[in-house]
Amino acid sequence: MATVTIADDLTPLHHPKTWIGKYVWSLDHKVIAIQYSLTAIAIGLVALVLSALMRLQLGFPGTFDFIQPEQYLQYVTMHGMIMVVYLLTALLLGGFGNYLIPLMVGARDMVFPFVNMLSYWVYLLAVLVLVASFFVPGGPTGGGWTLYPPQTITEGTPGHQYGIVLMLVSLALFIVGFTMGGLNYVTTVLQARCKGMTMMRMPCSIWGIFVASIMALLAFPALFVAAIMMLFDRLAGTSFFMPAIVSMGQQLGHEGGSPILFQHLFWFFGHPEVYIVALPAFGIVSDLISVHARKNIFGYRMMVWAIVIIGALSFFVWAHHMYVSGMNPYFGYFFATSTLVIAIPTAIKVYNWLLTLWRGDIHLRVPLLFAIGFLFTFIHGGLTGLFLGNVSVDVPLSDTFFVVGHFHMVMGVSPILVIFGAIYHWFPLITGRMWNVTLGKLHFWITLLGVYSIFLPMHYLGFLGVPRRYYALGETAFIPASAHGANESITIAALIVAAAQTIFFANMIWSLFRGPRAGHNPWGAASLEWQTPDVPPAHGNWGPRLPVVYRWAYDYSVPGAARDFIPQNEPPADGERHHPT
Amino acid sequence: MSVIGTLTEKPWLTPGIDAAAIDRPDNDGRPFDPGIFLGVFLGVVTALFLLIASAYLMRMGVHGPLGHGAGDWGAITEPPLLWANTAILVLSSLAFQGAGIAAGRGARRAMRITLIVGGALGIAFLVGQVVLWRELQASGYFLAIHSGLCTVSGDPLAQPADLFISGNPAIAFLYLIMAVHGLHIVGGLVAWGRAIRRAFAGTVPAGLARSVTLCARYWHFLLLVWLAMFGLLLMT
Repeated sequence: MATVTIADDLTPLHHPKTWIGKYVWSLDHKVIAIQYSLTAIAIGLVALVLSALMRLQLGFPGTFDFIQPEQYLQYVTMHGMIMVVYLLTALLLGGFGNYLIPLMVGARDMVFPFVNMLSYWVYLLAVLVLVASFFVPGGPTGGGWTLYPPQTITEGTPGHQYGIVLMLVSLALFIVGFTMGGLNYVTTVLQARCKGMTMMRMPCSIWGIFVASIMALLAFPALFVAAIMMLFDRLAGTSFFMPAIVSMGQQLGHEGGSPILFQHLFWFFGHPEVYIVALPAFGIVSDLISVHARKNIFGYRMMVWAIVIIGALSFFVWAHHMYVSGMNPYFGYFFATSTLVIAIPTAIKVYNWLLTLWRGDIHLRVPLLFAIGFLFTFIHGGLTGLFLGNVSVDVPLSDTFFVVGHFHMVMGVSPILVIFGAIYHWFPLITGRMWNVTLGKLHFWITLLGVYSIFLPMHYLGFLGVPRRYYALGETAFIPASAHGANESITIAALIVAAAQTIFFANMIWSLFRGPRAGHNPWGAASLEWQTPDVPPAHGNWGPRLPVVYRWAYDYSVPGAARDFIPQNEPPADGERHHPT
Repeated sequence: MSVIGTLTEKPWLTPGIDAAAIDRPDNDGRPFDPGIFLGVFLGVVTALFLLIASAYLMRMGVHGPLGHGAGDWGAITEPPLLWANTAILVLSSLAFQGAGIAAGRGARRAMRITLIVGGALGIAFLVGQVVLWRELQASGYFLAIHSGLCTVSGDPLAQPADLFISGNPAIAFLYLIMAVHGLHIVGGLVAWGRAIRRAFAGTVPAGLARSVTLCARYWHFLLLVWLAMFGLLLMT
């Protein structure tokens, strides 16, 4: 018998009556997700342009007069901060989290839609404040994305006047906005799952987003505290982080502050942040591989446990970013150990992805290509992480291009490849249209080969001792001429990859208007978001009745079944007791 | 179901509707229970204040043997007003507890009175903190943001202001903790305002008792955090 629960009541949905209510001040999680995504992509494009400018300087030093050392440092800083916080975090949690959570757990919307809407507008405000820093006297801060004091707020560093203040205010706003969203993601997963959707029937995507949201809620306060304390140091003359210091021949009023205290706070946020970005990507890539290899995810419970364990462990490794900071050397022993322990659950995930592909009915569609590309870059970045996790190897490699190559592979390129795969995968649901496959594949191959051409040589540069963050290498005896050649080729590859992204955007816009109609569930996916009565899903997602879930999200290629997938909301057939595998 | 039970479920073995799935009885007429939302939020605030406490202890120099602390930390004499404000917050929390009990029993008049008293005491605490802030300034511990940004002519951010919270970092932490905790109180007052509006509505709205109970929970947490922070301030 059909039951009517409180959640079936459609009256609290507040259907919008005007265009502005529907698309601007929207309470609908799907519209908010798109707002988040478009804003994140827009500011991400700014960061992409900044990276191209950086590469122009590094590849062809002295050629471009408009890039002076000050500008170069500002490009480095803003590129890093925008990519990590304002693009990746916002897109994966604000964008995918918002779109997927209610649809995948069978809810009509987030639990608190108004707070959810507020979350986006505060995020937008944070982005605007950040952008404003480009236009203030002195420009944005050039203190490096880690914003280490004392140099970030002392004279001589670009943007030490206004830029750093706007950066810190923007970060504080971002955290406030994210907290509103994160509270919604967590409570929606805990409270608004439809009938039958137990926690262990949730797709891996939701597990990744759920655990990453909890982590972000606990880690971002560290950045918040650090930002507020540095604002006090900058504006109110306190000495939380600022030691006694002579700047430009003048004794400043600060004394006794601890720059290492800032580093601890920053990295207590900063390292979990790596996994805040990685875990949603882990979850999403699991679903992409499973759907397009037509096979249940190998070791589902292990995958979930690994996500939870990685999330917990990531709070105990932060000081591996500080081996050369002057902290007590005994810390290094502990943090190296905890860092290497994380490799265990991470390796489990990698093996399980590979074993899911093993003997699967693989359809090499564009989303799966990106997922496989992710496996390459992630394994690569993960292995170089083992080098840097060891104190004795890290010390000589610190602040070299090896580090740049490592973290771009593991937390730059890898999540971005998953994001591309995810956009190709869910675009038919979001818009009701399919992409042009040829352009999609072209985009994939240029991007994958391009990023390898960029970041693989950086590891060799690092071994040579080429330092990161330097405006120009100059006449440096230990750096051979070949390093300059490598820098030129990296720059050319970077420009090609950046230009190739126009293929992606052109394809997206063309598909939005002219792409073939996707119809219902074009990939034959079993998870709930593809089972909505309307494509794209209407406001309220599920029509008059919420769905009821009878099985997990990975019933693919079940022997004896009529199709090669069984949707989560399909009741069990007579006599069906167990998954035949 | 326990966390272990949840995580060890074998989803591939159980086609059908799990007995544990949804239809929660505690929604009390509202679509979703804000209690979980509040619980997670208080978790975030706990993390925030724990980090401030860690920073406080590190800067204070308890980790001196590990290389932290500059030896510039000095004891401060707690202003008497700090004790008075703490007492006001305790009373405020008690009043909220009373409101929660009254709401549970359906004693509407008692609930309204205690709710107003609790909120008023909360505002009194906030005012007390502002007075304390001014007292600190009067005794020479200036905030440059006040004396510098507002009164110094020319470009306020371009150069260090004349007056700092210089010297003793314990005072700087006092300002910081008061500011962040003050923001926390303002958040509580917003929730209190919503509860008051509902309490004085013509008809008793569904879930009023629940929102008063949650308000009380928020206030107890507020007090707990303040007591922890107060303890830190006494440690100087």
